[in-house]
Amino acid sequence: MTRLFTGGNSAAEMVSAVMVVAMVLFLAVPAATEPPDPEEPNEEQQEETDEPAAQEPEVPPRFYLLPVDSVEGEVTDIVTRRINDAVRERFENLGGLELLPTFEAMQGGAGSEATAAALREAESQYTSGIGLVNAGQYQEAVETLQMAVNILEDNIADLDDLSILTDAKAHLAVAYHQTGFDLDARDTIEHFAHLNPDADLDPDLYPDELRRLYDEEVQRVKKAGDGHLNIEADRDGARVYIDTEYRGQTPMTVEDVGFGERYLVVTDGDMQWSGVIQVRARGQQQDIDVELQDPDDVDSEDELPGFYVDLRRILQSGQFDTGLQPYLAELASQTGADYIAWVLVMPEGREYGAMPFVYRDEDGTIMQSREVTFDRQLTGIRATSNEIADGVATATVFIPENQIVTDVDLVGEPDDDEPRLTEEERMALEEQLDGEPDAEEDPAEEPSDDTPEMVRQQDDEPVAMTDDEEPAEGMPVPDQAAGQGMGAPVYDDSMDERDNTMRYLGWGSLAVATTGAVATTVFLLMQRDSPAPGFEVEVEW
Amino acid sequence: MVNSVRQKAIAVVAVAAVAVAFGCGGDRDSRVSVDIFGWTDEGGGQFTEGLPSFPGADEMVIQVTDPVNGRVVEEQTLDVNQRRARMPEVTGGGTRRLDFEVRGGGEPIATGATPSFTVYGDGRYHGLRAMISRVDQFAPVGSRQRSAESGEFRFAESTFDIRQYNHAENWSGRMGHTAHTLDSGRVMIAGGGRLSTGYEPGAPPPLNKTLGDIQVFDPASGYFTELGAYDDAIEAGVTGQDRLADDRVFHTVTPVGDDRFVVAGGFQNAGGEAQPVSSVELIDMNAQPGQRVRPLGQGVQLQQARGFHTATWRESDGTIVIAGGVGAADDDIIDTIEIIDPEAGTIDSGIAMQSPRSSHSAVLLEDGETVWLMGGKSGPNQVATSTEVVTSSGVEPGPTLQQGRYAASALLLGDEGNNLVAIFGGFTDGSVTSSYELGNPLRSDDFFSGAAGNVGVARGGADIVVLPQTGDLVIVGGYDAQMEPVAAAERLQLDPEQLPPFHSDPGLGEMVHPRGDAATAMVGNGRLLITGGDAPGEVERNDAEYLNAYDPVE
Repeated sequence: MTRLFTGGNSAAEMVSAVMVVAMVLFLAVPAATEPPDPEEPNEEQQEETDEPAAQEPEVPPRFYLLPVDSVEGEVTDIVTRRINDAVRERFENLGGLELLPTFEAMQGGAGSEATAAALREAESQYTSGIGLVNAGQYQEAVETLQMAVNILEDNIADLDDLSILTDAKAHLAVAYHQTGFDLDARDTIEHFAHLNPDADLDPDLYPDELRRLYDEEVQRVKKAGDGHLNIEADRDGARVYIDTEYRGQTPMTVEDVGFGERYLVVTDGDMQWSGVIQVRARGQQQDIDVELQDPDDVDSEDELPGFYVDLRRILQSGQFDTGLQPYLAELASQTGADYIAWVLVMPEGREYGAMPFVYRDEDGTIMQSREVTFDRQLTGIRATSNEIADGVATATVFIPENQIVTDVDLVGEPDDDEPRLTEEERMALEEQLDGEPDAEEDPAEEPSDDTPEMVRQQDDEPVAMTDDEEPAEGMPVPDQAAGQGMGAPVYDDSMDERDNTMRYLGWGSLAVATTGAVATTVFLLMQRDSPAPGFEVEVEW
Repeated sequence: MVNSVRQKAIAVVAVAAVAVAFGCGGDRDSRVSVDIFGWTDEGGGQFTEGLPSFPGADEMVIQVTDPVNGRVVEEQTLDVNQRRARMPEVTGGGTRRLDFEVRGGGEPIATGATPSFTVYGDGRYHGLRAMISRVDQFAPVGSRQRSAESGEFRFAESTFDIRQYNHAENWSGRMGHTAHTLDSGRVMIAGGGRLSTGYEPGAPPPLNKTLGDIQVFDPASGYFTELGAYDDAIEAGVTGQDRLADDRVFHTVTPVGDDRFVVAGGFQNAGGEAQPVSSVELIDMNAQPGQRVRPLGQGVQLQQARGFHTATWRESDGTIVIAGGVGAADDDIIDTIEIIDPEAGTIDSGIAMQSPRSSHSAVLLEDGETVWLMGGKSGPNQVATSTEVVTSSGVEPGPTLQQGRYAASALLLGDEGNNLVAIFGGFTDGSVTSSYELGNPLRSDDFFSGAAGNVGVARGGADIVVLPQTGDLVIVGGYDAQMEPVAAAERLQLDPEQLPPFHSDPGLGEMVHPRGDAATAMVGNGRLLITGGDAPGEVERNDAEYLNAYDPVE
């Protein structure tokens, strides 16, 4: 067999052959370049793994999702609720962003189901926070434990005992202390001392300074003795709990309440009052008179801030413009959101159209994502809702200029040619969706066939939104499982301008190189029977 | 296009010229450089740059080994204070590993090893890292990380990768997950969850959180990396997609060859309640990024959703036997078998068992076809002594255990035609046992013939692993009678000439952090990796530790 290279050796020849083959493959099949095998790290990867990237996540953008609404109330709540749940679920599972709780949940009290969910969330945050403290990740622990404490305090009336809350407070104090928030650490450990003056703080976990503060506050609590509370409510016979412990019924006097901040809950059936009271102790009399409320009313419009109620009303109108930005900015400020997303649903013939929007707090930009449609049975609601969430989430990476809107009008003239649901069909649909027809729904408020009239971008030109519109470069590839087709390559038309001479020369060179490389590779592979390659080892210890 | 073709032509000519020149060059050995770091118990336990100071140490033995074939290729013995070694001409040609043994008076004090590697004599530089720690002791898994405070690099405990996590869920601790060794010597961890109080093995767990991420541990770096966050996934723009479609805990992951795994059943968190999972997913580590996890088949799922079942790879026909388990309620113990065919993407359901059982043990016998199901829970407060034998032609009752037990550890001993199976420990009715039993279901007259004995520590839910070189067994983890995680590990040496045949060596030390329902796997550097787990009085752990069970290549 003829040796193509002389004077070399198998290893060096192999290198040269591989280089040629790799070059040919690179030039001939550029699009077929395979990503590296994760099981075969290259040197670059190895060097990168020396960096602590895997251990230092970036803070992801915080997303606030408004409840899905229908334009002018033309779609039953059953539909919007189901779409809302599916979109939220997708957001919760999307990596790279943090989905904030609902505003109602942040405000506290949204019905027993929401309370149970909030308590589960609090427990999850609590366990995470404890783990983070134990792992020494104090900054993350502060955020996590503070969230747990907030939720637990907001739902204090539904707690059976304070063990999780007090333990969360103690660990939160550690996390505050270790991150340099000394005042917060002091406040927190003092409150912990009020709630649990008999704790034995582990020196391995609690720094000396915190244990000293705790001991001092415990001494203060003991020195202050008990307080004397006269508790009344607008209803006699309401049950009184202090720090989740049942104490009796209103009106009543409690004489053995220790000094400091205490959680008071007064409840009578569906009515209740809860909050933190400051017990002055030293035998002083304190009168406490509370007015019971229905906790389910807490999330009613009357109890929610005016700007929030107004914001949702404006959105429900289907018509808004840049005047919306102050409302959104306030919501972002109150929730800590970087982005606020909302979805407006409206009937479109025999389908529902869902129009997603997202607001970027950084610059006040509002983006309208691509409209999707659901059939009346909400078939494939998960996949379609995934599409909504994925589309909105792209705003964290890039907002295409042609999707920026400043003036939106989703209310147009009805198209009488479009088919409408009969009353029987509507009732049958709601029965299918929710088990029984919505008796409160006014038949006169039959879903209209209104379709979006126009969406304008900044230059007031109508935006053409077509199904085959390609995403801009840099946008993430959406979930393929959801059946989406974004991210197709874009080809440069100028590639059609070809010079035949150079093309023949180029492809001819490639052909010659390929033939030579293949022959060389075959030859060199046959040479692999030669003695095993050696290596040298260097070790330092 | 004109410029493009011209550039290609020039590039081809240039590269060919370089290749020819390179081909005429001289011999170039590859170079392997090893960076040693260590773990010492001094000062409450800490990582060290370089070799820790081990009192009494006088020798450093460096071996180039072929761990697959169990042979030493080359060896050097040096003064431990020499601090540097060079081995100039080592024979390559296959999988190699560098093993280090620190000796004092000829006895091993501490050991460590690099991951396995292969060199091709291409002049390539291989930078490897080896962690040295005392033999027969546990040590945290370390990796080189940048300090958040000082910005300096130092060795610290590795934790699961949370880059893809929702920021509000930045804790990745877990229990009830799985760990399996990949062909490369890395370890794959799948799923898991966090529990509330009131957990009882074999019953639907009180769930706080379930997870669907897949983490890969690389002994070369000491890092855990979520599969969906690998560099290739990032480059392909499919970050975060390679994860289980259904979060799950107490599921099964069954290797089916070529780094492919079938994930079945488990429980999912449904508002704090455990909801059994019916879906079956396939993990293919050789697939393209974003496509490494997919459903077994369109609409293919278990007929009965279940967790705490067993899944046994049946070599004879390439199927997986899913047996028993528990559904949504603790009295919903399942008495059916389903057969998964991973190649066809089908499931054959509805095969009746002799009796319901969950958290039982299952072992494949030497014929590659017969699966032996043993013990388990048969009801909320019932522990089974029965066994049953599953073949492709049906299910038959098997011999009876002397001790009813569930969450026991069972395995086939050797492949010498005697089908000898050992079952160790487990939970009994209200307690745990240290007893073990031996048997052969195909020879009922010879079953459990008085060969039972006891191991050192009574425990249930432990992992049992065979050391690749010595063949000794290691039992690690599990719970005691009070459901507190057991810290101690023990080594079992089989001596078939004696009765009872196992010699127990409890001298493997205790875990740095005791862990129940952790997941254990052998790493390519020859160490046992114990990941996550239920920590006593704390939350589920997000880290891992090595057990350095002495297992030299000789």
